[in-house]
Amino acid sequence: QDFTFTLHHFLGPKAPAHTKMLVPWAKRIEDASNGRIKIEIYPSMSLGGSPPQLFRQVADGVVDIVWTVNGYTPGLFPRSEAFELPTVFTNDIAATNLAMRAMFDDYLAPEYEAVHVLFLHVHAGQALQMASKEVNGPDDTKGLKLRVPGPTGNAVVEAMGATPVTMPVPDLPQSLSTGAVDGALIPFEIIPPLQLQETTKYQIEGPDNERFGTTTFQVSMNKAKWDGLPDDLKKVFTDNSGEAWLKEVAKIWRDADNAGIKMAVDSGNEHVVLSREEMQDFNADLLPVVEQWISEHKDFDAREIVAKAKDEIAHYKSGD
Amino acid sequence: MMDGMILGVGGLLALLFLIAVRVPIAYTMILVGVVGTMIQARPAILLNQLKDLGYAQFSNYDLSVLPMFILMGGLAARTGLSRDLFRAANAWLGGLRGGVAMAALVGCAGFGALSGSSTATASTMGQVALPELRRYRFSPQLATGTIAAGGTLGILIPPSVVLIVYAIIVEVNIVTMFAAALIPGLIAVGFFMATVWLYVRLVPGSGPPGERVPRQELISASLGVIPVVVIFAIVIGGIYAGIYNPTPAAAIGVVLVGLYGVVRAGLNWRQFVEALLETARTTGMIYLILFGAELLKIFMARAGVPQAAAEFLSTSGMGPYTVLVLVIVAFLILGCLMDSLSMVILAIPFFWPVIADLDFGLGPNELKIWFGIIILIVVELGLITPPVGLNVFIINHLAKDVPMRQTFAGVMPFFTSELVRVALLVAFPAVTLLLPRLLAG
Amino acid sequence: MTAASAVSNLLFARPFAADHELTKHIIAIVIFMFLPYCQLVGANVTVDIFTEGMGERTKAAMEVFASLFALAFAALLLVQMWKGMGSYMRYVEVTPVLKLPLWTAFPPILVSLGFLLLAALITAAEGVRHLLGRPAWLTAPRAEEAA
Ligand code: NA
Ligand code: NA
Repeated sequence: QDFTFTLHHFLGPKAPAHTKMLVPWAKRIEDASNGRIKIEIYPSMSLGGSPPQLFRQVADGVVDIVWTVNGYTPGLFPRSEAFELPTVFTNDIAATNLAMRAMFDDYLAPEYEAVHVLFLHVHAGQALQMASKEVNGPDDTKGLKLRVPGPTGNAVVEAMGATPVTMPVPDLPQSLSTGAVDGALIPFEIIPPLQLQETTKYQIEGPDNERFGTTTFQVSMNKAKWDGLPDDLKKVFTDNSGEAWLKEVAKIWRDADNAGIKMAVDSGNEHVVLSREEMQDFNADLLPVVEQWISEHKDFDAREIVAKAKDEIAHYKSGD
Repeated sequence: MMDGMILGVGGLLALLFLIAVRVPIAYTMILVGVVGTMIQARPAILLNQLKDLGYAQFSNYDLSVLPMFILMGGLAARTGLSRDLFRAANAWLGGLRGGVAMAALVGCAGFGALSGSSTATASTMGQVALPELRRYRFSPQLATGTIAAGGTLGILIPPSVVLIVYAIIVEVNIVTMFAAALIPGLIAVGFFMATVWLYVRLVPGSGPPGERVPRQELISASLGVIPVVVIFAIVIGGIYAGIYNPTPAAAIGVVLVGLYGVVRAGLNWRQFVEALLETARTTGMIYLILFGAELLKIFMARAGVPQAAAEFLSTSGMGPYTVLVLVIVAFLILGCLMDSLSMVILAIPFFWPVIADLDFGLGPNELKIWFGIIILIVVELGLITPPVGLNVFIINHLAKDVPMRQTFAGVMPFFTSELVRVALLVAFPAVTLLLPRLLAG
Repeated sequence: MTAASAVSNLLFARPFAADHELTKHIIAIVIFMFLPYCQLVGANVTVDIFTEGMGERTKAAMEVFASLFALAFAALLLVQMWKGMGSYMRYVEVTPVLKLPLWTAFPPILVSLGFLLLAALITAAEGVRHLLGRPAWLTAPRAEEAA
C-alpha cells in the first residue's frame, strides 16, 4: 500500500450513499490499483467538525477526500448552483451528472480551485412531502410552511407562495407531526431513515419523476495529495470516476429514491403524480426563481451557464 | 492499527492522570486530543482543523437552547418559587408520617420542571426544606438524603441540561427526549415518595408527621403553585405541542420566570446580573468540555479505538443486554468520580456507537431515546454516590453539622429505588417510548 | 449578551427564515466571550477527589499547571483562528438567507481569545502568589450549577 487516503463524510455507515456509492467506489479503486491505494472511509463526521466544514477540511488537508453537499457552504459554489434550479434540473440524474462533468473545465472549475474534483453528482430531486395537505398545483402550497433543503430552496419555496423554514434533517419528523412545518422539499430517498411515512400522508412529484430542483454533491481530493500521485494511480481515480461511474451513481440514487417511495406507498401513503398541466403551472411560478438567481450572480455569466446546462442536460437525456 | 490502539490506550491513561491532578476536565480532553492527534497524524492536520473547529462547533442551533434553559433555571432559583412549591406540597402531605420529606420531594419535582440543573434544584429546595425537616425532627440522615436525591429530579424532569447535551451528541430530537423523560421522571417522584413511606416505617422516629393545616391554608398554599404550572405549561407544553422550538420556548420561559420573580419576590437588577453571570460560567464550561470531547473524538477515531471496540464486541458473542448492563456499570463507576455532564460528553461518543449496533428490537431513533433515558438516570446517580457526589456536597454546605457520611447513607435507599427504576425501564421500553410515540402520532 | 440573544429569539420566533442562522452565528461569538470570564473565576470543572488531602502548596502548584494549559490553549487557538479568518475571507462562505459572511464572527472571537490569554496569565500569576504564600487578588467561586 503506497498511498492511504482518508475519506470523510457526514452520513451514517448505513446510508445508501455510504454502502452503495462510496464503499464500492473506494473498493473498485483499491482493486484497480492492485493494492497500492487504500481508502479509509470515516462516516458520520467521525474525524471531527460539522458538515459545512468538509470542504475546508479537504482543501486544508485535514482529510484527503470528502463527499459533501455544495449547499452546506453557501457562497462557495455559485456556478454549480445552476444545476440545482427548478426547470434546469427536471428529472434526469444521469444527464445532469454528465452535464456537470462536460461543463466542468469551461464553466465550473474556478470555484473548485482549492481542491481536485473527482466527480460531481446530484440526487433524484426535491419532491414535496406533506404531513396532511394534498398538493395538486401551485394554489395548494400558498401560505404553507415548508422545510427548505438548502440555499437555492429558499427561493423555490417562496415562489410557491410558502414560508421557508430551515432546520436540521433529523428534526423534520417532529416538526411535521407537531405542525411546525406543513411539509418539506426533500427527495423520497430520505423516507426510510427518517421513517417519514409515519409523519406524512402525501408524497408529491411531477410526471416522469419531475422534481422541483435538486442538490449538488462533490467528491473531491486534497490538491497536494493529488499532485503527489504518480500518473498511473491518477488514472485509476479518473477511470473509476468517469462517465460510466456517473451513470451508475445516477442509478444508485434513483434506486434509493424508488425504495423510499415504495416504503411510503406500502404503508398506505398517497403518491400524487401531478399531471403535465399541473406541473407546468408549478414551473410557470418557478421560472422567476431562475431569473432571480441569474440577476443575483453578476460576477460570472449566470445566464449562459443556465442556458448551457439546459442544453447539455437535454443532450445527454436524448441518449448520446 | 496496533500502534493506534497503544496510542489510544495511552491517551486514555494520560487523560485519567491529568484529571486526577486537578487539570480542568475540558483542558485535559483538549490536551490529550491535540497531542494524540498530532502523534497519530501529521501536526499540520490538527493545526489546520483548529482554524475553524471552535466556530463550527459552537455555531450550532440546537445548542443555543442550553444557555436559555440555564438562565431560566438561574432566575427560578432567585424568585422564591421554591418556597411556594414547598408550602403547597407540605399543606397536602405534611400531616402524614414522613410527609414533610415527601413534600420536599414534590417541591423538588416542581422546581425541576423549570430548572434543567440537578445541583441548582438541590441547593434551592435545600435552603427551603431543610430547616423545616429539622423543625419537625426528621433524622438528619433522612432529611439530607431526601434533598440530595430530590435534587436529581432537576435533570430527570424536563427541561434538562444533561438531556439536551445527550440529544445533540447522538443527534436525536430534543423535543422527543423531553417527552420521553416525563413519564420516567414522574415514576421517579413516585418511587422516591414510596421510599420515604417505607423508610419511616422501617426506621421508627426517623420521620414524624408534621401538622395538618386548616382548609384555608390548604387552598391558599395550593394557589401559590399556579404560576409554576402555568409557566411549565407554556414552555414545555408549547414545545410538546409544536407551537415553538425549544430555543424560543426557553427564551419565553426566561421572560416569564423573570416577570414572576419581579412581581412575587422583587427580583432586582443585581440578582438578574448574578443569574446572567452564572449562565455565562456554566455555559462557557459546558461548551469548552464539548470542544475538548470533539478533539478527543478525533484522536480516538484516527487511532482506530472505536472501530476496534465495536469489532471486539461484535466478535465477543455477548448478548445486547449483557453489553447494556456493562455500559450501565461503567457509567456507575465513572459517576463515582465525575459530574454527570462531563460524563455524558466524555463517554457517550464512545458507548453510543456500541449500543447503536445492537439489536434490542427497537428502531434506530427509539433506541437513541430509550438508551438516553436510561443513561440519564445512571449519570444522575453519580451526583449522589460517594466519593464525588455534587448534590451531597451541596447539602453538606447547607447542613454543616450533618457529617457527609450520614448524607451518603441517607441517600442509599433512594439509590436503590433508582436501580429498581432502571431495571423497570430496561425491561419495558414502552414506558419510556409511550409519550414520544403519542407525539409522533 | 444572553439577554440580547433571548430578545432576538423572541423577535424571530415566528417564521422568519434567518432565525436559525443568526442565532447560531451570535451564540458562537457569545460563547467565546464567556471563556475568559470562566477562566478568571475558575468555572471549569475539576475532579478534586484525589487531591483533597494534599497540602495547599501542592494544590497551588497544580493551579499554576492548569493555568499554563489554558494559556497554551488560548495562544494556539488565537494563532490558528487568525489563519482561519484568512481562509474565510478568501473563500467567502455566507449564511443561507441573509448572505452574511461567516468571517464576521472571527474578529470578536479573536478579541475574546486575546482576553482568555490575559485571563490565563492572571490565574497563573495568582497561582504563583498562592504558591509563595501571598494573599490572592481574586476570590474564585466554583461552578457547581451545571449538573
Ligand atoms: Na428539569
Ligand atoms: Na458520584
